[in-house]
Amino acid sequence: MNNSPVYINLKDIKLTFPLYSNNIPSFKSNIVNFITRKDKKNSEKRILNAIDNVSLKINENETVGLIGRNGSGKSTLLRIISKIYEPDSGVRDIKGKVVPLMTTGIGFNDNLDAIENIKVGCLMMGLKKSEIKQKIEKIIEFTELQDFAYLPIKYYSVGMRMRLGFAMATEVEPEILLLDEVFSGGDFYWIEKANVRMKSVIEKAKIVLIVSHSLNEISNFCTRTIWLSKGKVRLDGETSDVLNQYQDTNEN
Amino acid sequence: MMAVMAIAFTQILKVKSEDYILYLLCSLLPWTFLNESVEASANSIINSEPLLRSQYLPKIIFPIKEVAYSMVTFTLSLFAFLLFYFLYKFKFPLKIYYIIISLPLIVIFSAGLGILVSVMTVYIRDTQYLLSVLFRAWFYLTPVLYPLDILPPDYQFYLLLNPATHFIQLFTEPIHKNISPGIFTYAIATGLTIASWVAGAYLMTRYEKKIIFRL
Repeated sequence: MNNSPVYINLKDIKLTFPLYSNNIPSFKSNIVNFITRKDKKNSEKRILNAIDNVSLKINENETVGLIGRNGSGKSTLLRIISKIYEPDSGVRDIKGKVVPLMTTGIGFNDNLDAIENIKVGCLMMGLKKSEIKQKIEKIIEFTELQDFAYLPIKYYSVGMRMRLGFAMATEVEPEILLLDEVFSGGDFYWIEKANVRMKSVIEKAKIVLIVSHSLNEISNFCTRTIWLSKGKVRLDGETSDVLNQYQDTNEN
Repeated sequence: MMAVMAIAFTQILKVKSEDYILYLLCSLLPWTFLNESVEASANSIINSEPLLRSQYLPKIIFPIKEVAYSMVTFTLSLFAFLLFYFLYKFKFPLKIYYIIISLPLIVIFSAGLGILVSVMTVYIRDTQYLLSVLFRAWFYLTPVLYPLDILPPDYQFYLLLNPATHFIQLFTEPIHKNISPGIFTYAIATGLTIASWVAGAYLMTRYEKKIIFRL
């Protein structure tokens, strides 16, 4: 692995979601709207501010927690960092291999079994074929899903999917790891095991970003915490300070 | 499929020309490929929504994947067709080597069209239904069921305005007529291929970053 510095640098990032009046656009509904002369004003685009002027810089060897209410833009911010979403304006400067683990998983194909999904997923994360062969066994072993390895993913429970996703994302040794609520849905033993794994991942990966509603988790792993509120950074600093203030405001 | 067509047209419809069945099969194969790959590409991006929401991937690979998938079927059917040809005529078509150029041309053309429709489908969801109607009409306007030269010359000219005609001829001329597809056919097919890619790539680059918000 090369030794150039890994960092995330976001400057004045803005992202708006276009809201469409018709969720499933179609030629047919256009014709119907035209004939019934549905008001054009209704179909005008409205806009939702998801991320509003966020600037942050995360340097190497930082483990950062992201907290905030539902809909405050935490996952959206992770998607911007992983290039899934393109910001409307602002500068996104990221150095390092990013591996995102969203609540939706790594992007599993429901009809394939675990082994196939690991192969495809690892290829998408930029691994070579020879590396993947070794990884498959390790990943399956860690997830303890040996019995289910040849079962199509569509029969998996949420917890099992999260296990597989977590095992893959942590096994490929990313430089920047983005985790979005990865511990939800796991059973007690799994969470214990995942916690141990997290400690070693944090040592290996250069930057880890964790989105979680479990403040325990955040205070366990993160040295720095960012509190997002309505798409803006409300507070950014030492984990204990931010968590205290966050809990205080929630109580009020 | 080939067997059904062979029986339907020779036995039931009593088409007399003995070569007709060979023409039909060798025009039907590229047509089916074009039709299948473009229609499959149409839904390729919207079907990959869960993937696109959890990983960054260039969107262009989804239609191309579908075309590549159809290409495998197409190549296998071509081999099956050659076997059929051999059993029928006890020889191989001598100019068969021309399809080394024809095959990539039609595949790249389909990929260009596929990219175009895959982006369109995101914004106009019933593109897939419109496409299947369009392809049915296009099928009859393309010399697939009938060879081009059985038509009066006036009509032949109109059919040459149809892009698919040239791509079908890239296959029927070397395999069925045993002649080389003229430089004219190659030039037009290459031009159309470039045009399909220009249109597809334009739409793709223009909308690539916005697609995720419209899935």
